[in-house]
Formats: sequence, C-alpha cells, structure tokens
Amino acid sequence: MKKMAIIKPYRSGWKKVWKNKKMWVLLYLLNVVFALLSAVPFLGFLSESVGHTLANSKMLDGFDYTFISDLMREYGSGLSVILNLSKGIILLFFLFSIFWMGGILSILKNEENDYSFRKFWQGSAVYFWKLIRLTFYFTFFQIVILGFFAFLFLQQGVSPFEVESEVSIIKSIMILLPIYLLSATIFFMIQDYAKIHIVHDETKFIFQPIKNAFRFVFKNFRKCFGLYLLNLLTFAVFFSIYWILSNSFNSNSTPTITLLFLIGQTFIFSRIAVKLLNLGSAMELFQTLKIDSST
Amino acid sequence: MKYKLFFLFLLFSCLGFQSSKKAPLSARIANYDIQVKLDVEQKKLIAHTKLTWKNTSADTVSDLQFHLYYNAFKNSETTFFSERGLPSLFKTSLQEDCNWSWVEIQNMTDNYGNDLAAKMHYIQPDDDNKSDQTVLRVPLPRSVLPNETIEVEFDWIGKIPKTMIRTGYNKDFYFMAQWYPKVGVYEPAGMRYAEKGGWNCHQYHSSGEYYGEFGNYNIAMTVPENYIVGSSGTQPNPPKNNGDQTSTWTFEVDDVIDFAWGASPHFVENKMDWKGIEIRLLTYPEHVHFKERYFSILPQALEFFEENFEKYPYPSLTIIAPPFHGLYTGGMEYPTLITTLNSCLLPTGIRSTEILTVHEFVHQYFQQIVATNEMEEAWMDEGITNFYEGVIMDKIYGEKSSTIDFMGIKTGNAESDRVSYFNMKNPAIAPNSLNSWEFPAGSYHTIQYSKSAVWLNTLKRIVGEETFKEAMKTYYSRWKFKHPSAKDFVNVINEVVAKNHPVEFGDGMDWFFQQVLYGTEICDYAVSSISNDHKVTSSGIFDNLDECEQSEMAKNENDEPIFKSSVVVERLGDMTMPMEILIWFEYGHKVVEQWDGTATMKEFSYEGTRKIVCAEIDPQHKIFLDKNFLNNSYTSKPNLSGVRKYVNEFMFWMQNAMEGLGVLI
Repeated sequence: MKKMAIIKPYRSGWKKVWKNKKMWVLLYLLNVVFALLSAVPFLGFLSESVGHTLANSKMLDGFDYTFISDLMREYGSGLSVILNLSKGIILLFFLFSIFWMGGILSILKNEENDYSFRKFWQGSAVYFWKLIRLTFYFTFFQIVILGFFAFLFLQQGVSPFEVESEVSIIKSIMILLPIYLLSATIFFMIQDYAKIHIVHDETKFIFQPIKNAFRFVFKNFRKCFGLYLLNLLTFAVFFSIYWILSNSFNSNSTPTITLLFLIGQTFIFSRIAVKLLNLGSAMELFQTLKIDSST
Repeated sequence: MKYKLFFLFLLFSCLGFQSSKKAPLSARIANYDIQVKLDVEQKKLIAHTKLTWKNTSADTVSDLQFHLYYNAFKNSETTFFSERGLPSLFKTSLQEDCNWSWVEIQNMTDNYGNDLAAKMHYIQPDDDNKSDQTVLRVPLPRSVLPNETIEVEFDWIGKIPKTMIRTGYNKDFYFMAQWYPKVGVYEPAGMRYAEKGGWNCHQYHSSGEYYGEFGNYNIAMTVPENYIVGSSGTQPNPPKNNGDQTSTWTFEVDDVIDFAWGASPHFVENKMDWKGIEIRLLTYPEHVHFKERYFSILPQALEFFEENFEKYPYPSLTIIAPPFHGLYTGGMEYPTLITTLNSCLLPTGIRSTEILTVHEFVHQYFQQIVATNEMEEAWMDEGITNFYEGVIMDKIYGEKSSTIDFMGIKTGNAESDRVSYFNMKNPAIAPNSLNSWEFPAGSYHTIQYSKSAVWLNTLKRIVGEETFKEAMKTYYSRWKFKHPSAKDFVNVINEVVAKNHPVEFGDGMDWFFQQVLYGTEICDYAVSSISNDHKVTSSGIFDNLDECEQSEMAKNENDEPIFKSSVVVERLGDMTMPMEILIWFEYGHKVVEQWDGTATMKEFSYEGTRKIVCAEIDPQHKIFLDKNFLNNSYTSKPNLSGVRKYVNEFMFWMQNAMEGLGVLI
C-alpha cells in the first residue's frame, strides 16, 4: 500500500512530463540557447588563440596539464572575459528559471489541460515575485544549515597542530556529511512543496505556504521523502548511463566528438525531464493527499 | 710453494682486515660524539658533545665557528623571523604560549685544557643583525696547524621548538633536526669561491637550508623507555634500559654532513632489505598501510641511482613518516634519514607520498654526498634533486600522470615544474645564482626548485640523454664527498659535452649557463605566420615601350602553378637558443631548417608547386624552457577538432551548471 502511494505519483509524474512534452522541449531549448551565449564566444576565443597550432591536437587526448596551463597563462585574459560572461549567464538563467517555475507549476497543476504557451507565460509572470522571495528564504535556510554543520565540523578541530591525527577529521566528515546531506535534501524537498502550495492554493503571501509545506512534509514524511528519493534515484540512473556511455570511447575524432555531444545533450534533456518529474510527481502526491485529508 | 701460501695468507688477511673496517669515503673533518638526553617534561635536550675537527687545509686556523640553529627561534627579531615574519600558524604558540626556543653552550674546553667559553661570541656574517645568535665564533687560544686535529668538548642545553619548521615537537612526537651546535665548513683559498681561507658559516635564514662538513657521528640518545627512536645511521647495539624509566639508543654513521633523529612512543617500525641496505620505516599506526607505497617506490629510486650513478654507499636508510600533528617536519632530507608526508585524507592518485620519498632520497646523493652549499647555491641540490625526482617519477608513473592521476585530472612531474615556473608572476624575477636569502619575496622556491629542473631538462634534451647521463655521472664521481660550486658543475658539463659533440658544442655550454643559471632571460619562440601566394609573371613595360606585359600566374613545365611561400618565426623572449624548424609542405614533403635563434625575426622563403601546410619550431621538443608551446607551431588552415571537443565539453558543463543552480529554486 505504501509502495503504491509512492509509485502512483511517480508514474503520474512521468505521464505529466510526457503530456507536456512541448514544455519539456521548450525548457531544453532555453537551456541550449543560454549555454550557446557563452559557448559561441568560447569557440571564437579558442579558434583565435589555438585554432592554428598543432598543439591543439592535445585537446583531443583529454585533460592535458601543459596545454591548459599554457592556454590559461598566455591567453587567460580573453578566457577570463568569457568565464565572467558565463557566470553572468548562469545567474541570468537562474533568474529566468525562477520565472519559468511559476509557468511549469501552473501547467503541472492542471490535470485536464495540455500545455498551452499562453498559460505557461501567464503562470510565469503571476508567481515570479512570490517564487523569487521563496528562493531567497530557502537559500538562506540552506546557508544556515551549511554554516551550522561547518561550525560542528570545525568544533571537532581541523588544525594539523591540534588534532591527534587526520583520522579524527575523516570520522567527523563521515558522520557529519550524511547528516548534512539529509538535512539539506529535506529542506529542498520542503521548498518543492512550498512552491506547489503557492501555485496550487494561489496564496497571497508566502509564509503560509512555507508553514504548510513544513507541516505537509512532516505529516507525510515517509511518502514525500520516499518519492523524493525515487526521483533522485531516477536522476542517478540517467547520470550513470551518461557516465558509462561517455567513458566507453575516446572522443578524438569528429564522429566521436559528435557522438559525445549527442550523449551529453540527451543527458541534459533527461535531466530536465527529471526536474519536471520531480515537480509533477510531488504535485500529484500533494493533490492526492490533500483530497484524502479533505474527504 | 710455501712462500706463495704465505703471501696468499697475508693478502687475504689484509683484505679481511680492510673489509671489517670500511675505508673512509670522505675527509672526515668534523667528527661528533654526543650524549644527549631528551627531557620530555621540560622539552629540552641536555647534552655533551665532543667534536674532533681536523684541519685539512694549509692554513693555521685560529677560531671555530658553530651554527646554533635553534637560536633562530629565540625571538621575533632573529634573521629567520625578520625575513619570514612570524608564520601565522605558529604565532599563538610563540607569542602567547612563549614557546620560543634556543640553544646554549654552557662550557667549552679544548684538548689542551683551555677554556674556550670565555671568549666565544655571536657573530652575524650575513646581515649584521645583532639579535641573531645563530652563529657562534670561538677564538682558539692555541690555533690549529695544518694537518692538526683539535678536540673540543662542551655541555649544552637546547630548548626544543614547538611545531616549528623542519624540527621540534608536538604532543609526544619529536623530530630533532638542526638540533646540536654544528661546526661550519672551513674553506681554504681556492675551494669553491674562497680567495683566502675562512669559515663558511652562514646565519640561519628563512630560505635555504644547510652546508655541512663530512665526518663520523656517534650519538647516544637517552629517551623515555617507551619511546622508539629513528635516526641517521645504524645501531651497533640494541637500546640499553637504564633502569630509571629511560633507555639509551646509540647510532653511528660515517662520512656524512649532518645527523638527525626522531622519537615517539607511537612509532610502528617496518623494515626491508634492499641489496644489503636496511630500510627502516617509522610511521604512526594510522599510516601503517602506506608501507607498501614506501617499500615499492624507494627500491625503484635506489635502482635508478645504482644504474645511473653508483650504489647507495651507506648501510641504512631510515624513513620517518610524521603524524598529522607533526606535518611541519615532513619532506626533509638528512644523511641516511628522510622525512616524508602521508595523509589518509589524500587518495592514492595524488602521489605526494611517492614524490616526497623520491625527492628526499635523491638528496642523499645531491646534497649529502655531493655536499653543495645550499645557502649560496641552492639550485645545486634542490634543482638537481627536483630534476631527478621528475625523471624517476615520470619513468615510473608516466610523463603525464606522475604527480596526480585522480578523477580524470592528470599531471606529470616535470611538466608541473615547468608550469610552476612560468606561472610565476614574474619568472624573470631572479637568477638561480643568488644567495638563498637574497631572493625576492616568494621566488626562492620556484626559481631554485622548478626553474632549475626545467633548464636541466632542456640541457638534457639539447646535449642528448647519453651525454647528459655521462656528464652527471662524471660530476658525481668527481665531486662525491666534496663541496663543489656551480663553476665546478659547469666545468664538468662543458668538458663532457665538448668531448661528445665537438662540432656542435665544441666551445662548451657557457652560452647556455650564462642565460639560465646566471641570467633571468625568458625563452619564447613563435611561428607567427605562413603565407602561400601564387607567383605571377612580371608586368609592365620593359624593352618595347609600346608593349605592356600583363602579369599572369607563373607555372612550371607541367603547367602546375608555382607558389611563393614563406614562414616567419619570431623570438619573443630575451633568451636565445639554436633550434630546428620543421616545415611541412603539401603531399607530405618536409624541410628542416636550422636557426641560431639570435635574431628577433627570421623568414624562410620557398618557391615551388607545393604550398606550406604548417611549420613547427623545435619539433623534437628539446627546448623545455620555452614559455609557450602553443605558439611553437602554425597551420595554414585552422585545425578545429580539438577546439570543438573543448567547446562541446564547455557547453555541457555550462548547461549542467545552469540546471544545477536550479536546485535552489
């Protein structure tokens, strides 16, 4: 019975992904377009700096310390411009992702209707300010959690002159790291349900949904966390497939580089699917449990 | 027949006698008998030293000079701390807990009964810093005549530093280096750079380490009975329990320039034998599993040196692997004893344990046996050692993975030296030839270790591996158990290179050393352009004023177009190196040009039916000193396969970074 409680929203989540494949493709294309904004200047930079040197054949062999060091040292100023640009693009994409989140949840909320372009952008606009505040608060929570565990870790002592041996540091890491990861994961999960509350209940303020999300998650912890772990496992499966495939050959020729590109893009595509799966399945679980509790 | 038997008996007797007492390897000038007690309560060494010093020069020596290294940590105004500043890690220990350390000689007499203590005084030969008490001058009432020996006896106390660089204690781990009053090196006129006889006894500086005289050591250490001692040399007898909860460990070693030891109740001992040499490893319990790594790499280093120089000449080699709280003593070299670093925090693919083991072992040859002056010419031990560390590590683990081979990140040892050198803010900041303490801030290590290794690597590639090997072996054979200077090194290299390459390098390699050793020039050559233009016939008005000749494409007898092609190479740095330039034409045709590399620009022009496809400077990659390998070649058409791969990966990671940050939403 409990298994079914997780599997049903999981399957439903996949159905939502498939049903809204236009949104899936749109999100992938947006990702590609933003990545190209820095990849194209990077291509120009590399073509200009090392496009005419025999040394660039070393790039085909994978990581080459001498090549990379010479490149960074001799042409680093050009590279740093691109890296700064990339940081800006990542930040911009982050803001847009907050914007799109409202649209994604608006689409996933509605069981009956298919993806509609209008509804997506409308949802994006409606929930943007609430979601941006929610992101700010939960980022703050995450920093506090990280700081708390860092404090606990440092309290154990890390100075080489004070500790008896590094084994005590390793033990601290082995104990604290899993607890930290678990705590951080729970907060990420609560954040997901807070987003769902905001969009599903169309609340005016965000503190109520945050409170409700905490209450909802801890009331249905096994189901919520089980589903979250299943979604994480799905991501791990996709990542493992990508890892195995991309390491199964040496990309040192045009066909193999193209193949690696396709494998990489398939992984990104699947990663976006898992993001939608996570939100879709959580939405389904939320709706199911809410109906159950109201009846 | 009887006579023959008698002579045979006599011969074997002599051989037997000789083998039981090994012939001296060195001049054995400074010989020490020390009885020292380790007081773990007061953190002090309480000792008695008998120094036997032999005057092998033709001079009459009227004083002795001693290094008192522990006085470098006596106050914040010593030369050591003035140059370095108080390291932040030690500030609390020094300033708040008052863990300053010192060494004090309480009395001193010579073998004629003269009191030497009354007139002894500190001197500051390098910087006149009166707060520095790291060199003690002892005037002798009775001078030491040529070939005469003086015996000096003295009691002394040393306060052991806590968590100090290279030496000291932390918790119950003790590592005793630079721990005893150590006599300097007397250099008569003509030795190294000495124009007249005198002591070479520098103050203890922030950069640079030691310069020591050869001698025999007989050291008895009294330590708490549960302590295990690791030391230079070998034990003639097992430790003696004194019945007062202490035991005395005795170690002997001949023909060395220094002596170090360490003690802890937690040491775990492991031993192995390599061709009659006892290798003794002392680790802490949590590091016992590193044993295989030490016992795997060290024999390979021993083999390398036996093959390229000579067999390790001492009967023992001790490795002390300090605990985590004793990290500050790791990575040091002393005669027949090295300290390394290991940490359970580091994965196997990060080979710091192997690197340090090899590095410190190489020092057994280049600093301990070929006993150069590290205060004045540090490159002669650190540079040469770093070079051979690279050779051995790259040979064993591969040129591109000998330093790190972890999670797809691979770096080689020799290439790391090159990267480290050129990644300096200013690689031309100082020549190798400066005294250790004269290096501008932060440049000592990279210039002396990395730059030297890079130019030695270049030298090897230029003169050829066999010639280089012969030259280094000659240098070693000629200067082992002596004190060579840079000019002695250069002389040997010049001699062997000129003998093996009379045409190419008949005048020796001074041109090379002037730039890399005594100069700060940077080497950077580049292929700056390739052009392939159609040759056209002449145009204009020539003999007939009424006829205007039009230009047209020039062709050969087979009606193939003729090209005027050229390659331009440039010298971007100040350093000049002769080199080859390989020029590839269409259809696989190649031309190798020679260039002396002195002009700032050189153009190579050709006329023919084949276009130039690419050009490469130094195609055999001899000039490891070149700052930028990327501009050493140029292709007429862009070659973008590798670029596409990097762009592909960059884009993939960019996409992941964007999605990854999305978890915060």
